[in-house]
Amino acid sequence: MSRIEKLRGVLLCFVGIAIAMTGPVVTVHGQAVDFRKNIFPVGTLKPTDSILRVKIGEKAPNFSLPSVEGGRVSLRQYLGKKHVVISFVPAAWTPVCSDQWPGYQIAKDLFDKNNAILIGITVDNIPTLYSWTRQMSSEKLWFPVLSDFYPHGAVASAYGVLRSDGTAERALFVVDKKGIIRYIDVHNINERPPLEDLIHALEEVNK
Amino acid sequence: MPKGKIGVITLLAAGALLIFICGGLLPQSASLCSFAYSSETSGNNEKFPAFTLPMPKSDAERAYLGLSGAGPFDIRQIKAQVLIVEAFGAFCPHCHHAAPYVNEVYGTIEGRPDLKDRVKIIGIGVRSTPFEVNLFKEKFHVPFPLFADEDMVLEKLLSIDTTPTFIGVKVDKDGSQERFYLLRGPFENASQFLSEIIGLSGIAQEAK
Repeated sequence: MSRIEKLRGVLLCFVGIAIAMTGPVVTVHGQAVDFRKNIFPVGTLKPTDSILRVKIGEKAPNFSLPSVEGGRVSLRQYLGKKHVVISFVPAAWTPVCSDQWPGYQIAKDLFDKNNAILIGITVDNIPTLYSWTRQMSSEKLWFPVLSDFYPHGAVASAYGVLRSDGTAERALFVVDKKGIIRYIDVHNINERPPLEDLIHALEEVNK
Repeated sequence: MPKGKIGVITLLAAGALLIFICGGLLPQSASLCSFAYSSETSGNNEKFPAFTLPMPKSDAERAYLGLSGAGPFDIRQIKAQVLIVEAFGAFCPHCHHAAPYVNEVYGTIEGRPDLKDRVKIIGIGVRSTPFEVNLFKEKFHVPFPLFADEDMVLEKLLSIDTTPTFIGVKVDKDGSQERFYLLRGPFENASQFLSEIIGLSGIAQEAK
């Protein structure tokens, strides 16, 4: 091998190493944006802006919606198996919503303890939900996130939590294993519901 | 095949192997950067406001802060020359990400005789209920005392506009407290963070 060929090989090795080391980092730094800067400042909104169409003690309207993880998830599939917490949040990339589900992400044990599953729903489309939920945690979210995008807000509307601007309320519903609504909190959209209120409701349902 | 070509192919294969190895390793470390973003620091010294906090229930936490008795305590009662205050949100994903690094800072301080008893850390859970703060503490095994600021009183008093925010407070001999460090956003290098705190506080030069 001539010295030039040896040199070329060594250079190629260094190029390979450089690509290997910088490639992923560049990609990562490409993603390493300050996500807070991507949160749209919505200001203070009308606390609630819809009229409930369901009541405690009634059968919860069934739904089947596309999931960020692929496929569809229905309320019915949990009948007889798990209590279900349905968490509607107004919209992706907005201030309070961007903290609410990350909190539920660290509270899995509390849901498990009460034999419950959480379903997150917004009226955003799947690609938006995909990018938004991916930055919520270094781990995959443990609960399904569903898109009520098309027909727009149909499920939110069925529950009576679709606001006049097309977003959903910040609302929590606890549906027991029999499919009956046991707890409703249509919360002030500007504030995050305290976790303990939901967990206490779940404890009551799970008694 | 000429020897020269075999040599080049061998070297290329070695390069490809390195690409494979590095490519396999880097994304793991890169995932740590998934929440990385620029943080601001400020060395502007300002008077740190006094406020009260509820007395920790745990004996160990009371001992850590050098407190005794019951009822609310004044932050100036904490026995330390430097106090690191982390303002966090129990539900804030960036605070979740930062938690292990803050724990690492605590562990380093407690393991160093020149810092232990001189530098203390507390966390204030802004917009977080005591229940949520407790969940955060358990989930991330936070070893230092955490307090809830559910009603946003301290958030306003300390002008917290993002979480996590880290405030370095120097306690002078006359008991007055001065903010010498402000970091808005998380950090991922615990030793660098602690070095900045120690360096800017000036306690390294001071007698114990």
